[in-house]
Amino acid sequence: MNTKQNTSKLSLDLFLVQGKWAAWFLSTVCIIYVVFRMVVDQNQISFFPFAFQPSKIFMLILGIMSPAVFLTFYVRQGITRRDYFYGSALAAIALSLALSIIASIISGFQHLLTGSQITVHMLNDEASLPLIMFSFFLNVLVYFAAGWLVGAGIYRSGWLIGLGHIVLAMVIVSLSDLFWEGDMSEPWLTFFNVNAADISIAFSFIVTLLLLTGTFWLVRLLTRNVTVKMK
Amino acid sequence: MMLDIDMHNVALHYGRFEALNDVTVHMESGKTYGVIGRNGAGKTTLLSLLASFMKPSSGSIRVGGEEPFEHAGIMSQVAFVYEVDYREEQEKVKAFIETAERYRPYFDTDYAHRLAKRFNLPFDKPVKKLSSGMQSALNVTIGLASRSPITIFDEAYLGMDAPTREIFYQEVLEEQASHPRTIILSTHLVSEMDYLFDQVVIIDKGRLVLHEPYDELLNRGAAITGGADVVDGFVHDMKKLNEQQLGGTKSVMIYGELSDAKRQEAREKGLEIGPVSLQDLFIHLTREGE
Repeated sequence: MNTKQNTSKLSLDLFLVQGKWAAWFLSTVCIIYVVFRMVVDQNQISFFPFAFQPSKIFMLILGIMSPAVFLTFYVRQGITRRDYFYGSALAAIALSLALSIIASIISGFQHLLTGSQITVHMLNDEASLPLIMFSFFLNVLVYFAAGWLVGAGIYRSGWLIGLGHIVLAMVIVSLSDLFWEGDMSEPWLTFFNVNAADISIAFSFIVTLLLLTGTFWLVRLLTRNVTVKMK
Repeated sequence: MMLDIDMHNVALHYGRFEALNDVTVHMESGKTYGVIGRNGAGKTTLLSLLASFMKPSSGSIRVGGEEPFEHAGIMSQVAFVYEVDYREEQEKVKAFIETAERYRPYFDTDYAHRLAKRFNLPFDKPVKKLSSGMQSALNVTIGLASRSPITIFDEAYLGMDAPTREIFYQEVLEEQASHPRTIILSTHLVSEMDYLFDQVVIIDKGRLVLHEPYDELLNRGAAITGGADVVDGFVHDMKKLNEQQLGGTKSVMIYGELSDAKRQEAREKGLEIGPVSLQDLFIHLTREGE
């Protein structure tokens, strides 16, 4: 069996398993959103920004779990660490894309039904839907990558050294948030002495892509020769 | 596919602890190997190196002439079956069999179903709800049905009760006859499994003690039975492994090959010479130096 076949099989399988979890997750977010809009919300927040934060956390948790749940499992099936890495990365990309598309579709319906504007507080009001979708996609993927880094660190070296990876992951997500005006950006904005409004979107995309590549590369380094836990 | 295994000066250290030291062994494909050793002897370490679960600290491992670690072609041909912790496993038995079918190139689904039936495995039950014996049966079912050219069972049968283990042993024998491959069985339940082995590998304290064909190994000792006094006189200068006495009859297991002259002498004295058990040899060989 060649490694290309393994990677595509594994990415499809992982996408389906994690997609099932994501379906449960999104359904729950939808229900909470409806209740939230009916009971609490005075600001009429639309679904897209509402789903954004929980989606990031969902992907972060998927990333943290991935090595412990799937690495041992697939190596036991005779799959290499390399194929696990590429399969998981592809599945995460597909899942992030699926999440952003589904969240957009739900928001689209909401827009048609209520006439509300799809806005994302990280981008300006004139941002096009594809741009908003793409930024959603990139952001949730960064959170997956950061979680994956933590999971791989703990899998490889245990909790103590794993804590170091948590710090690194926090730096990564807060850097990413900096370029999208997220919640964790304040310290960086002060540190770099910049105004969030001055950062161009193209620059944000490039930096986020670099951040993603770097994080994935670190995960690969951590798992390349890792001792597979027998459990 | 025939894949010979070659380990050369293989060592594995965890910090200062030497789990495996200077192991050199050649395993020809198509045979059943018994890897025996006491608890903590290094059996699992040796086998998990073969399964590419880790890299050796030093030395080389070749499977079919290739380094198996991260080799997709080799890793897919090596199945490593061990007691897995299924406490969190929500998936059903059926899904487990389907996954193995998807990733194991020689997987035989019909055979997996036949085995599952023989072991009374419920297809639609979540794996975490199976008894530990049933979980072992599931592991073994997947291991056997994978028909991997190298199939390693690392004490994968400990949770099973005796009748279920017996089914497993029968299946190993039948499979080896119908679909020959390298089957490696690690165990310390030596006495009930020894008849399965073509070759025996004994390891102790991380070192290879011996690797020999099963029948040759048994010639390394003998059981001398007869009248207690006569037996005692006959074996007085030999290395005794074990002795049992019932009334005036005594049976002593000795270590070391018997010369033809000694065999003749035994016959003349009316003593019976029987084979020594692998269990006794194992205990003897791993007790030395204690």
